[in-house]
Amino acid sequence: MKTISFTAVFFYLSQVTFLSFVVAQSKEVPSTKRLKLLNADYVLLNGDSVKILDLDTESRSQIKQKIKVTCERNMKISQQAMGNTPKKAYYFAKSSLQLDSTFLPAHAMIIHLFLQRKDTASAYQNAQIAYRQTGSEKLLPILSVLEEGLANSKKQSLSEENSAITGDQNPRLNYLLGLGSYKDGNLSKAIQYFELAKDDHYADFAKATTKLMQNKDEKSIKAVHVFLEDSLLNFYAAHNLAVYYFKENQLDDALLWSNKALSINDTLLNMYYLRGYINYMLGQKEAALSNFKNCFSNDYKNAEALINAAICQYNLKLYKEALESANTAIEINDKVAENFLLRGNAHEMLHQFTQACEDWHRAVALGRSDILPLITEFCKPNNPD
Amino acid sequence: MNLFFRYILFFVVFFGVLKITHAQDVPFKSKYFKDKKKQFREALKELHLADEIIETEKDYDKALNHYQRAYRFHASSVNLNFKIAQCYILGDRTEPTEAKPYLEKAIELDSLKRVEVFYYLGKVHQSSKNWDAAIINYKKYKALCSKDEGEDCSTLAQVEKNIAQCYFAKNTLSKEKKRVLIENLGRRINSPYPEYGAVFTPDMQRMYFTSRRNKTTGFDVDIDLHYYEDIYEARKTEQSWNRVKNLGAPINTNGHESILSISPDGKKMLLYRGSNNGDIYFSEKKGRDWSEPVAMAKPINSKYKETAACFAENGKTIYLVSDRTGSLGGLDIFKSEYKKGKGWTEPKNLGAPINTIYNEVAVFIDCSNVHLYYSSDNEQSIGGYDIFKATNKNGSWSDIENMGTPINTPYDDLYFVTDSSEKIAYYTTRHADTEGSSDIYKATFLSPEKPVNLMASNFEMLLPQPNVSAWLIELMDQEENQNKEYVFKGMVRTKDGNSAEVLISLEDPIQQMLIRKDSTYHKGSFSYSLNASTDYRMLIQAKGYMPITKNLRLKANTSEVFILEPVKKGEKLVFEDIYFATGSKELSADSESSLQQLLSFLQQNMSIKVKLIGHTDNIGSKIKNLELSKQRAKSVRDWLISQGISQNRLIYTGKGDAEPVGNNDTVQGRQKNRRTEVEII
Repeated sequence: MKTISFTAVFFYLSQVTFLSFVVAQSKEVPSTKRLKLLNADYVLLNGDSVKILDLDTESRSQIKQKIKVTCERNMKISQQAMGNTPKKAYYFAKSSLQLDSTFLPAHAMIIHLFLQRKDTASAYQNAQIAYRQTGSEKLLPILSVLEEGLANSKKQSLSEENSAITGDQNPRLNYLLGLGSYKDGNLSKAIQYFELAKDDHYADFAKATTKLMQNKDEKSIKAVHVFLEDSLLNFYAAHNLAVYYFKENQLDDALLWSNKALSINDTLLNMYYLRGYINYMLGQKEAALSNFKNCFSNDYKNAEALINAAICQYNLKLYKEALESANTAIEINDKVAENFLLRGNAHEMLHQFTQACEDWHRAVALGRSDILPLITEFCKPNNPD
Repeated sequence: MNLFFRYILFFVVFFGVLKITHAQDVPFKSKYFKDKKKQFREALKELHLADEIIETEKDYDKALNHYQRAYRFHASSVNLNFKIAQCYILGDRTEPTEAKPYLEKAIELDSLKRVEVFYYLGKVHQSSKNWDAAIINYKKYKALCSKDEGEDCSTLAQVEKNIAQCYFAKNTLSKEKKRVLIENLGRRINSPYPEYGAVFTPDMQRMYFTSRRNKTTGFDVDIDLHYYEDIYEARKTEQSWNRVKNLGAPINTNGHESILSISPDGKKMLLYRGSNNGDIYFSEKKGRDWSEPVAMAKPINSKYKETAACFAENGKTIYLVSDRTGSLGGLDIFKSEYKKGKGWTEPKNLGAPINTIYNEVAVFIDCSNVHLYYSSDNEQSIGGYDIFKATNKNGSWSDIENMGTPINTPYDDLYFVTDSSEKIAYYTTRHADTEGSSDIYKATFLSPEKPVNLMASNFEMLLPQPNVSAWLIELMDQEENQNKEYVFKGMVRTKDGNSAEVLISLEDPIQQMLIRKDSTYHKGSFSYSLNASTDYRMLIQAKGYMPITKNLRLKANTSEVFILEPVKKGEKLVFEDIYFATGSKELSADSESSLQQLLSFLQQNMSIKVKLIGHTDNIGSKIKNLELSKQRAKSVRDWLISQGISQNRLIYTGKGDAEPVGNNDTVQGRQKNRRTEVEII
C-alpha cells in the first residue's frame, strides 16, 4: 500500500484537477479571475502561488466548503473500495488528507486499512499522526489499544496518560483502564473504571463479571445472567458462568454453561478446552477426547490439547492412538515431562517396555522425579520387547 | 354373628389367601395341570429328555436348552430351577453366575426341598467374588446338611475349604490388586473347546499348547464327552500368533497327548500320555520333526499318575507332578536330577510349604531357576486352582505367594509360564471373554500406576475486547460525525456573582476563521448548537475584565459557567498565534485572528495600558533573538497603532529566548516559546 500504483496516481490527479474553481476575492482577487487549488494551503492565482490564508475571509470560506465537499466525496469512494480494492481506498483517503489534514474519517480509514493488513505498527503511527493533526479525543482509546497491541512496554499505560488528558469523560478509555486493572487483578479498581464508562454496554457486562469474580454470590450470578438475553454478550455470559462454576468445582453446572456457550458460538477453542477438562473430571473420557481433538485440530494450544487427548485415549485403552498423539505433542514441545510420561505409559501398554523406560526416564529428567521409585524395579535391564 | 366369630372368620380368610398367593413349589405332576394337559405333556417330555442327556452324555450345555423349554411352561418347580442352575454351573459354554436367579427362585419356592441349592449359590457368589454372600450360603448349607439326615453331605469337606478360601480372598487378596494386563489370545489359538498348557521355545517365537478341539486325531471323545487331547504348534507374527497346526504323528495319537515342557535348548519335549494311569513322555527334535515319544523310565514314571513335568537347569532337572507314594495329599510336586552315569534320581517331594494335603499341579520354573510357579486348590486359593509363586532361597523354596487377582479367578487358573524377564506370562483360565471352556491368556505385568496430569489451562473469564475496527468505522461515518450537533450552554458571571454583558466570538482555530460573534444581553447567558466533529475556539470578552478563551469539541450537550476576572495590573494575556515570517519581523496573515482579539480587548478597556513583550525560541544566536523579539513586539505595537490605538497606551520590549515556557527541543515546545505576551501595566 505504501507504493503508489498508476491507477491511484490517476485518481489523485483527477481530484486535484477537479478542485479548480473560481473564487471571488474582495481585495486581492478580481471576481473574474480563476483560481486553481494546488493543495490545502496554496492556490494558483494568475500563475502565482498564493497562500489561502492570505485571501479574504469570504474566499477562504468558499474554499473551505469546496474542500469539505471533495473530502466527503473522496471518503465515499474510499469506503466503497475498502473491501475489495484497499489500495484505491487508501489513496482516496490520502487525497482527502492532502486537502484537509484534519479530516478525521480519512485518518480513520487509513488506520483501519493498516489494521486490515495486520500492520499494527503502521496503524499506530498513523493514529498518532491523526491525533496530532485532528486533536480528536476519539482517537485516544484507539491509540491505547494499538499501543497495547504493539506491547510498547517503555511507556506506562497510554490509557492512563490519556485519561489524565480527557478526565473521566471518555467511556472507551475508562473501559480500557478497567480491562487493564482487571488484568492486573485489581478488581475493585476495575469496577470503578467500568462504572465510569457509563452507557457502555461492554462496560456494564465487564462490571457484572468482575463483581462475580469478587463477590461470588447469587446476586452477582444473576447480574451476569441478565446478559444471556443480549445477542452480543450472551456468549460471554455463558462462557463466564462456565468458568465461574468450574472454579467453584461445580462441574455439572460448569458443563451446562460450557454447552450453552458453545451452542451460541462454536468457534472459541478455549471453551472446547474447558469443556474437555470438565468432561474428563466428570469421567466422560470420550466426550473429553472429542473436545480436546477439536482444539488441536484447530491449532489451539496444540501440544497441551494433544497430550490431554492422548491422556483420554490412554484411559479409553486406545493405546496406539495415545502413542501417536503423544509423539506429535513431543514434536511440538519436548520440554514437558507429562508428554514423555504419557508416551511411556502408552509404550508400556503396547509391550514396548524399552521405549517406555526411556520415556519415563526423560520424564524424570524433566521434573517428574516422583515416578522414579515406580519405575526403578520395572526398568531393570533385560526387559522383554 | 358375634364379634368373636367375625374375627375368626377374617383371620381364616386372610391367611388362606396369603397361603394361596405365596410362591410355592409345584412339582411336574399332571394333577396340577389338568386344564393344560397337552402343554404339560410336551414340557414333561423336554424335562425327561434333558435328564437323559445328563445321565448318558453329561452334556449340560445341551440339556440346558431342553430344561429351558420346560421352564417356559412351568417355572415354579424347585427341581427344575435347580437343574437349570446346575447346567449353568457345570456347562462348558455357560456362565456360572447366570445360575443365580434359578437358585434364588428354588430357595424362594421351598428352601428345604434341596438344601444343596445353598451350596451352589455359595459357589456362584464365590465365582462372582461376593465373598460374604458366598460364606453365608456355604454356612447355611453346612447347617442344613448337618440337620437333615437324608442329605448326602459328602461335599461338607469341600464346603469347609471353600469357606476358608472365601475368608482368605476377603481378608488378603481383595486388598491388593496387581497391575496386570490380561488378554485372551483370541480365536487363532483359542476355540470353543478347552485349550491349555501353553509352553514356549526360549526365544518365545514358537508356542505349543494342548487342545481338545473337534479336529483331534481320531475325532474321538473321551468319557468326559470332550475330544481327546492333542498338541498344537503356533508361530509368532508381529501382531499375534499364527499358523496354528496340529503336530500330528508321531506326537499325536488317537489317545490323550498334552504338552508339558520344552527344554531350554528348544530341542526336547516332555509330554503327557494317558497310558499307564498317565505318564510322562519324551521326544527330541531331529531336523524339523519330533521323534516318536518315549515314556520316561522309572523313577520319573511310576504306577501312579504323572500328570505334569518341566525341565529346569538346562534340562538336567525335572520337576514333576505325581500322586505317587510320598505325596502329602493328592497330586504333589517332585524333583528329580539327572546324574551322569546314573540317570534320573528318585523324585523327591518338594514338601511344605509348596505341597499340601490338596493338589499341586502344572509346575513351571523360570529360566533363572529362582521362581517356581504352580497351581493348587488349597485353602489359600480363591476358588478352584490358583497360581502360586515360590522363591528359591539358598536352595529351599519359601515365600509362597498367591499370584492374586486379576491373575487368579474363582475358576481354575493353571499352567503359568513366563518369559525370561517374568514380565510377560501365559496361563490357562476362564475369563468373561472366553472363546468357550478354558482358554490361553497372556498376562503382562505392568509397572505401578504413574498418574499423568491433565494439562490445565488458565481458564479465565472473558471480557469483550475493544473492537477498534468498529470504532474506526464509526469514525468514518461522515453522516454521524459531520452532522451531529450538540448544544453548548454558557453563563458568564463576574467574580461577585453578577451578570455581565459580554462579547462572544466563535472561530475555527485550524482555518483561523471567525464563525460568529455575539453579544449577550440576557443576564450573560448564551446557547450555541455546535457540530460534533468540529473544533471551536470561544473567546469571551467584557469591558473591564480579562478575556476568557476556551477550546471546544462537543461529545454531548454541555453547559458551563464562566467567571470573569477584573482587569488589573500585572495580569498577562499570552498569544501563541501571532505569527511572523521565519527570521522576520513581518506579521503573517495567520496572525489576524489573534491581533483582532487583542485590538478588541484594548478597544473595550480604553483606560488600560499594556506592555507588549516579544519572545523567541532558541534557534539562532541570543543577540539576534533578543533583537528579533523586540522588533516583533514593535510590529504588533505598530499594527495596533494603525488600527487606532493610542501610542501612549502601548510600550514594547523583547526577551529573546531568555524566558522559555516550552521545551526548545521539540517542535511543539518551540511553538509555545515563540509568543507575544501582553502585560497590563
